Amino acid sequence: MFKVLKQVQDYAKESWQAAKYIGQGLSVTFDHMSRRPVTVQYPYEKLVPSERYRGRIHYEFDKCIACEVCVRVCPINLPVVDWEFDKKAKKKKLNHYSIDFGVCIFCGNCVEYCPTNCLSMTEEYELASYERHELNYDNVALGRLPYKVTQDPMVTPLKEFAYLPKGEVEPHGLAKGAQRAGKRPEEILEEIEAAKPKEEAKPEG
Amino acid sequence: MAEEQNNQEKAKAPAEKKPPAAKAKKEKPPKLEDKPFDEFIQQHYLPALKEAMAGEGIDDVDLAFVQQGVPIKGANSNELCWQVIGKWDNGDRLFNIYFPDEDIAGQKAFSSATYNNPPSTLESFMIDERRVNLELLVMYTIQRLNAQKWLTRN
Repeated sequence: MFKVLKQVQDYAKESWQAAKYIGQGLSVTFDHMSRRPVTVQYPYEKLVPSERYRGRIHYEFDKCIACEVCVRVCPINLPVVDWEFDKKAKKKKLNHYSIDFGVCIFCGNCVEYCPTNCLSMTEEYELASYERHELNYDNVALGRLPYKVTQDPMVTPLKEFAYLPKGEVEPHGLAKGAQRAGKRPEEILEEIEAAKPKEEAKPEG
Repeated sequence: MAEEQNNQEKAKAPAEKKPPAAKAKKEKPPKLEDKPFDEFIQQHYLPALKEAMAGEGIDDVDLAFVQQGVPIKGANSNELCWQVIGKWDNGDRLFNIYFPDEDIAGQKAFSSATYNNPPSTLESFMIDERRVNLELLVMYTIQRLNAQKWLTRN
Protein backbone atom coordinates (compact mmCIF):
# COMPACT_ATOMS: atom_id res chain seq x y z
CA MET A 1 0.00 0.00 0.00
CA PHE A 2 2.83 2.33 0.93
CA LYS A 3 4.69 1.28 -2.19
CA VAL A 4 1.96 2.81 -4.35
CA LEU A 5 2.11 6.03 -2.36
CA LYS A 6 5.88 6.28 -2.84
CA GLN A 7 5.45 5.98 -6.58
CA VAL A 8 2.95 8.80 -6.56
CA GLN A 9 5.23 10.86 -4.36
CA ASP A 10 8.20 10.34 -6.70
CA TYR A 11 6.11 11.19 -9.72
CA ALA A 12 4.96 14.45 -8.17
CA LYS A 13 8.50 15.31 -7.10
CA GLU A 14 9.98 14.68 -10.52
CA SER A 15 7.24 16.68 -12.24
CA TRP A 16 7.93 19.58 -9.94
CA GLN A 17 11.69 19.33 -10.60
CA ALA A 18 11.17 19.17 -14.37
CA ALA A 19 8.94 22.23 -14.24
CA LYS A 20 11.55 24.02 -12.14
CA TYR A 21 14.39 23.27 -14.54
CA ILE A 22 12.35 24.25 -17.58
CA GLY A 23 11.47 27.48 -15.79
CA GLN A 24 15.12 28.11 -14.96
CA GLY A 25 16.14 27.53 -18.55
CA LEU A 26 13.45 29.81 -19.87
CA SER A 27 14.26 32.56 -17.38
CA VAL A 28 16.87 33.89 -19.81
CA THR A 29 14.20 33.95 -22.49
CA PHE A 30 11.65 35.59 -20.25
CA ASP A 31 14.27 38.12 -19.19
CA HIS A 32 14.06 39.55 -22.72
CA MET A 33 10.39 40.41 -22.17
CA SER A 34 11.42 43.32 -19.97
CA ARG A 35 13.95 44.60 -22.51
CA ARG A 36 13.25 46.94 -25.36
CA PRO A 37 15.29 46.73 -28.57
CA VAL A 38 18.37 48.95 -28.53
CA THR A 39 19.17 50.70 -31.79
CA VAL A 40 22.75 51.72 -32.51
CA GLN A 41 22.68 54.56 -35.04
CA TYR A 42 25.58 52.99 -36.87
CA PRO A 43 27.76 55.51 -38.61
CA TYR A 44 27.28 57.98 -35.76
CA GLU A 45 27.27 55.48 -32.93
CA LYS A 46 29.37 52.34 -32.82
CA LEU A 47 29.69 49.52 -30.35
CA VAL A 48 33.08 49.16 -28.73
CA PRO A 49 34.44 45.74 -29.70
CA SER A 50 35.08 43.44 -26.79
CA GLU A 51 38.58 42.70 -25.56
CA ARG A 52 40.36 39.97 -27.55
CA TYR A 53 38.31 41.06 -30.59
CA ARG A 54 39.98 39.80 -33.74
CA GLY A 55 39.91 42.53 -36.34
CA ARG A 56 42.37 43.57 -39.02
CA ILE A 57 45.92 42.45 -38.36
CA HIS A 58 48.55 45.08 -37.66
CA TYR A 59 52.10 44.44 -38.76
CA GLU A 60 55.32 46.10 -37.65
CA PHE A 61 57.83 45.79 -40.43
CA ASP A 62 60.94 46.36 -38.34
CA LYS A 63 60.21 43.48 -35.99
CA CYS A 64 59.67 40.91 -38.72
CA ILE A 65 62.53 38.44 -39.15
CA ALA A 66 60.99 36.71 -42.21
CA CYS A 67 60.81 33.36 -40.40
CA GLU A 68 57.57 32.42 -42.20
CA VAL A 69 56.01 30.93 -39.07
CA CYS A 70 52.84 32.94 -39.83
CA VAL A 71 52.61 31.16 -43.19
CA ARG A 72 53.03 27.74 -41.62
CA VAL A 73 50.40 28.19 -38.95
CA CYS A 74 47.91 29.82 -41.32
CA PRO A 75 45.16 27.35 -42.32
CA ILE A 76 45.51 28.46 -45.94
CA ASN A 77 49.14 29.69 -45.97
CA LEU A 78 47.91 33.18 -46.64
CA PRO A 79 50.64 35.66 -45.64
CA VAL A 80 53.09 36.36 -48.44
CA VAL A 81 56.65 36.74 -47.15
CA ASP A 82 58.91 37.87 -49.97
CA TRP A 83 62.52 37.73 -48.83
CA GLU A 84 65.92 37.03 -50.27
CA PHE A 85 69.26 36.25 -48.70
CA ASP A 86 71.55 39.27 -48.59
CA LYS A 87 75.06 37.90 -49.16
CA LYS A 88 76.84 41.04 -47.99
CA ALA A 89 75.19 41.27 -44.58
CA LYS A 90 74.53 37.51 -44.33
CA LYS A 91 70.97 38.19 -43.38
CA LYS A 92 67.51 37.63 -44.76
CA LYS A 93 66.39 40.77 -46.52
CA LEU A 94 62.62 41.15 -46.35
CA ASN A 95 61.33 42.79 -49.49
CA HIS A 96 57.57 42.69 -49.12
CA TYR A 97 54.96 41.24 -46.80
CA SER A 98 51.25 41.08 -47.44
CA ILE A 99 48.04 39.54 -46.15
CA ASP A 100 44.86 39.40 -48.22
CA PHE A 101 41.99 40.22 -45.88
CA GLY A 102 39.50 39.13 -48.49
CA VAL A 103 40.68 35.57 -47.86
CA CYS A 104 41.81 35.80 -44.23
CA ILE A 105 39.47 34.11 -41.76
CA PHE A 106 40.83 36.10 -38.78
CA CYS A 107 41.64 32.96 -36.81
CA GLY A 108 44.57 34.72 -35.18
CA ASN A 109 47.03 31.84 -35.47
CA CYS A 110 49.69 34.04 -37.07
CA VAL A 111 49.39 36.58 -34.26
CA GLU A 112 49.63 33.86 -31.66
CA TYR A 113 52.69 32.17 -33.11
CA CYS A 114 54.69 35.18 -34.33
CA PRO A 115 58.00 34.83 -32.40
CA THR A 116 58.78 38.55 -32.41
CA ASN A 117 55.23 39.83 -31.84
CA CYS A 118 55.37 41.83 -35.02
CA LEU A 119 51.78 40.84 -35.81
CA SER A 120 48.92 41.96 -33.61
CA MET A 121 45.14 42.05 -33.72
CA THR A 122 43.31 45.36 -33.89
CA GLU A 123 39.71 46.37 -33.29
CA GLU A 124 39.32 47.55 -36.85
CA TYR A 125 36.46 45.74 -38.56
CA GLU A 126 35.33 48.09 -41.30
CA LEU A 127 37.02 46.46 -44.24
CA ALA A 128 34.58 47.22 -47.03
CA SER A 129 35.93 47.97 -50.48
CA TYR A 130 34.60 48.23 -54.01
CA GLU A 131 37.07 45.72 -55.32
CA ARG A 132 38.28 42.55 -53.63
CA HIS A 133 41.91 43.11 -54.57
CA GLU A 134 41.91 46.26 -52.49
CA LEU A 135 41.73 44.00 -49.46
CA ASN A 136 45.16 42.61 -50.24
CA TYR A 137 47.10 44.69 -47.72
CA ASP A 138 50.81 45.20 -48.26
CA ASN A 139 53.25 46.02 -45.47
CA VAL A 140 52.55 49.76 -45.71
CA ALA A 141 48.81 49.25 -45.31
CA LEU A 142 49.31 46.64 -42.60
CA GLY A 143 51.55 49.03 -40.71
CA ARG A 144 49.04 51.88 -40.59
CA LEU A 145 47.76 52.68 -37.16
CA PRO A 146 44.38 51.01 -36.68
CA TYR A 147 41.09 52.87 -36.47
CA LYS A 148 39.54 52.85 -33.04
CA VAL A 149 35.91 53.55 -32.25
CA THR A 150 36.82 55.37 -29.04
CA GLN A 151 39.27 57.70 -30.77
CA ASP A 152 36.97 58.90 -33.54
CA PRO A 153 35.59 62.35 -32.68
CA MET A 154 32.64 61.84 -35.06
CA VAL A 155 31.49 58.64 -33.36
CA THR A 156 29.76 58.05 -30.05
CA PRO A 157 31.14 54.80 -28.68
CA LEU A 158 28.56 52.56 -27.02
CA LYS A 159 29.16 49.70 -24.64
CA GLU A 160 28.06 46.23 -25.56
CA PHE A 161 25.45 44.51 -23.38
CA ALA A 162 27.98 42.42 -21.48
CA TYR A 163 29.86 45.58 -20.50
CA LEU A 164 26.88 47.38 -18.97
CA PRO A 165 26.35 47.62 -15.21
CA LYS A 166 24.12 45.02 -13.59
CA GLY A 167 20.45 45.48 -14.46
CA GLU A 168 21.25 48.00 -17.17
CA VAL A 169 20.00 47.28 -20.68
CA GLU A 170 20.38 50.56 -22.48
CA PRO A 171 23.89 51.78 -23.43
CA HIS A 172 22.59 55.26 -24.30
CA GLY A 173 22.82 57.85 -21.57
CA LEU A 174 24.92 55.68 -19.34
CA ALA A 175 26.38 57.43 -16.30
CA LYS A 176 30.01 58.42 -16.83
CA GLY A 177 32.43 55.95 -15.33
CA ALA A 178 29.78 53.23 -14.99
CA GLN A 179 31.49 49.86 -14.54
CA ARG A 180 30.42 46.51 -15.90
CA ALA A 181 29.02 43.91 -13.55
CA GLY A 182 31.62 41.78 -11.81
CA LYS A 183 35.23 42.52 -11.05
CA ARG A 184 37.63 44.18 -13.41
CA PRO A 185 40.87 42.33 -14.30
CA GLU A 186 42.89 44.84 -12.24
CA GLU A 187 40.73 44.17 -9.22
CA ILE A 188 41.13 40.41 -9.62
CA LEU A 189 44.89 40.85 -9.91
CA GLU A 190 44.94 43.03 -6.80
CA GLU A 191 43.04 40.38 -4.88
CA ILE A 192 45.39 37.65 -6.05
CA GLU A 193 48.41 39.69 -5.04
CA ALA A 194 46.87 40.53 -1.69
CA ALA A 195 46.29 36.82 -1.07
CA LYS A 196 49.78 35.79 -2.12
CA PRO A 197 51.91 36.49 1.00
CA LYS A 198 49.48 34.45 3.09
CA GLU A 199 49.93 31.44 0.84
CA GLU A 200 53.70 31.80 0.96
CA ALA A 201 53.67 32.18 4.71
CA LYS A 202 51.68 28.99 5.23
CA PRO A 203 54.28 26.46 4.02
CA GLU A 204 56.97 28.26 5.98
CA GLY A 205 54.96 28.16 9.20
CA MET B 1 62.08 27.90 -53.19
CA ALA B 2 63.37 30.60 -50.93
CA GLU B 3 64.59 27.97 -48.50
CA GLU B 4 66.49 26.17 -51.21
CA GLN B 5 68.17 29.41 -52.12
CA ASN B 6 69.07 29.94 -48.49
CA ASN B 7 70.66 26.51 -48.28
CA GLN B 8 72.70 27.22 -51.36
CA GLU B 9 73.94 30.45 -49.82
CA LYS B 10 74.82 28.64 -46.63
CA ALA B 11 76.77 26.06 -48.59
CA LYS B 12 78.71 28.80 -50.33
CA ALA B 13 79.58 30.75 -47.19
CA PRO B 14 81.88 28.19 -45.52
CA ALA B 15 83.72 27.61 -48.77
CA GLU B 16 84.59 31.30 -48.93
CA LYS B 17 85.84 31.38 -45.36
CA LYS B 18 88.42 28.63 -45.88
CA PRO B 19 91.54 30.59 -46.85
CA PRO B 20 93.22 31.75 -43.60
CA ALA B 21 95.07 34.57 -45.36
CA ALA B 22 91.85 36.50 -45.78
CA LYS B 23 91.14 36.19 -42.07
CA ALA B 24 94.51 37.56 -41.07
CA LYS B 25 94.03 40.53 -43.34
CA LYS B 26 90.68 41.31 -41.79
CA GLU B 27 92.12 41.47 -38.30
CA LYS B 28 94.65 44.18 -39.13
CA PRO B 29 92.42 47.25 -39.43
CA PRO B 30 90.41 48.04 -36.28
CA LYS B 31 86.77 47.16 -36.54
CA LEU B 32 84.62 49.84 -38.10
CA GLU B 33 82.01 49.45 -35.42
CA ASP B 34 84.51 50.32 -32.66
CA LYS B 35 85.21 53.73 -34.14
CA PRO B 36 83.66 56.77 -32.48
CA PHE B 37 79.97 57.24 -33.26
CA ASP B 38 80.38 60.48 -35.28
CA GLU B 39 83.27 59.14 -37.29
CA PHE B 40 81.53 55.87 -38.06
CA ILE B 41 78.38 57.59 -39.30
CA GLN B 42 80.10 60.40 -41.19
CA GLN B 43 82.91 58.47 -42.82
CA HIS B 44 81.51 55.00 -43.24
CA TYR B 45 77.75 54.78 -42.91
CA LEU B 46 76.74 57.78 -45.03
CA PRO B 47 78.99 56.96 -48.02
CA ALA B 48 78.04 53.29 -47.86
CA LEU B 49 74.36 54.15 -47.72
CA LYS B 50 74.70 56.61 -50.59
CA GLU B 51 76.40 53.96 -52.67
CA ALA B 52 73.74 51.39 -51.80
CA MET B 53 70.98 53.82 -52.73
CA ALA B 54 72.69 54.59 -56.01
CA GLY B 55 72.68 50.85 -56.58
CA GLU B 56 68.91 50.93 -56.13
CA GLY B 57 68.66 53.69 -58.73
CA ILE B 58 68.41 56.75 -56.48
CA ASP B 59 71.26 59.12 -57.31
CA ASP B 60 69.98 62.40 -55.92
CA VAL B 61 69.79 61.37 -52.29
CA ASP B 62 70.91 64.05 -49.88
CA LEU B 63 72.14 62.53 -46.62
CA ALA B 64 72.83 64.60 -43.53
CA PHE B 65 73.97 63.75 -40.04
CA VAL B 66 72.64 66.33 -37.59
CA GLN B 67 71.66 66.75 -33.97
CA GLN B 68 68.17 68.17 -33.63
CA GLY B 69 64.79 67.57 -32.03
CA VAL B 70 62.58 64.72 -33.14
CA PRO B 71 60.08 66.26 -35.60
CA ILE B 72 57.15 64.15 -34.46
CA LYS B 73 54.06 65.49 -32.74
CA GLY B 74 54.27 64.82 -29.03
CA ALA B 75 58.07 64.69 -28.93
CA ASN B 76 60.01 67.32 -27.01
CA SER B 77 61.67 69.45 -29.72
CA ASN B 78 64.22 70.81 -27.22
CA GLU B 79 65.51 67.31 -26.60
CA LEU B 80 68.26 66.95 -29.17
CA CYS B 81 68.85 63.63 -30.82
CA TRP B 82 71.46 62.58 -33.35
CA GLN B 83 69.82 61.57 -36.57
CA VAL B 84 70.58 60.70 -40.15
CA ILE B 85 68.26 62.54 -42.48
CA GLY B 86 67.87 61.36 -46.04
CA LYS B 87 66.03 63.33 -48.72
CA TRP B 88 65.50 62.88 -52.42
CA ASP B 89 63.12 63.94 -55.20
CA ASN B 90 63.42 67.56 -53.96
CA GLY B 91 62.35 66.55 -50.50
CA ASP B 92 59.32 64.58 -51.66
CA ARG B 93 60.83 61.58 -49.94
CA LEU B 94 62.22 62.05 -46.46
CA PHE B 95 63.43 59.58 -43.91
CA ASN B 96 65.08 59.95 -40.51
CA ILE B 97 67.03 57.41 -38.52
CA TYR B 98 67.38 58.39 -34.90
CA PHE B 99 70.20 57.42 -32.56
CA PRO B 100 69.05 58.66 -29.14
CA ASP B 101 71.87 56.84 -27.33
CA GLU B 102 74.59 58.30 -29.60
CA ASP B 103 75.69 54.76 -30.25
CA ILE B 104 75.00 52.49 -33.19
CA ALA B 105 74.47 49.57 -30.81
CA GLY B 106 71.93 51.51 -28.76
CA GLN B 107 68.28 52.20 -29.46
CA LYS B 108 67.39 53.26 -32.95
CA ALA B 109 64.23 54.62 -34.48
CA PHE B 110 62.93 55.37 -37.94
CA SER B 111 60.37 57.71 -39.41
CA SER B 112 59.42 58.59 -42.95
CA ALA B 113 57.38 61.26 -44.67
CA THR B 114 56.48 62.43 -48.14
CA TYR B 115 55.89 65.80 -49.81
CA ASN B 116 57.35 67.94 -47.02
CA ASN B 117 54.85 66.73 -44.46
CA PRO B 118 56.05 66.04 -40.96
CA PRO B 119 56.44 62.33 -40.19
CA SER B 120 53.52 60.93 -38.23
CA THR B 121 54.78 57.79 -36.55
CA LEU B 122 58.02 56.85 -34.88
CA GLU B 123 58.98 53.26 -35.58
CA SER B 124 61.60 51.04 -34.05
CA PHE B 125 64.65 50.31 -36.15
CA MET B 126 66.68 47.08 -35.96
CA ILE B 127 64.90 46.21 -32.74
CA ASP B 128 65.53 42.47 -33.00
CA GLU B 129 69.12 42.76 -34.20
CA ARG B 130 71.83 42.17 -31.61
CA ARG B 131 74.79 42.49 -33.95
CA VAL B 132 75.38 45.91 -35.46
CA ASN B 133 77.88 46.55 -38.21
CA LEU B 134 78.10 48.67 -41.32
CA GLU B 135 76.67 46.07 -43.69
CA LEU B 136 73.70 45.36 -41.44
CA LEU B 137 72.94 49.05 -40.91
CA VAL B 138 72.98 49.69 -44.65
CA MET B 139 70.99 46.53 -45.38
CA TYR B 140 68.30 47.37 -42.84
CA THR B 141 68.04 50.94 -44.10
CA ILE B 142 67.61 49.80 -47.68
CA GLN B 143 65.14 47.14 -46.56
CA ARG B 144 63.07 49.69 -44.66
CA LEU B 145 63.00 52.14 -47.57
CA ASN B 146 62.09 49.33 -49.92
CA ALA B 147 59.27 48.33 -47.57
CA GLN B 148 57.91 51.85 -47.90
CA LYS B 149 57.68 51.11 -51.68
CA TRP B 150 60.06 53.95 -52.35
CA LEU B 151 62.73 52.04 -54.24
CA THR B 152 60.69 49.70 -56.40
CA ARG B 153 57.11 49.54 -57.50
CA ASN B 154 54.78 47.24 -55.68
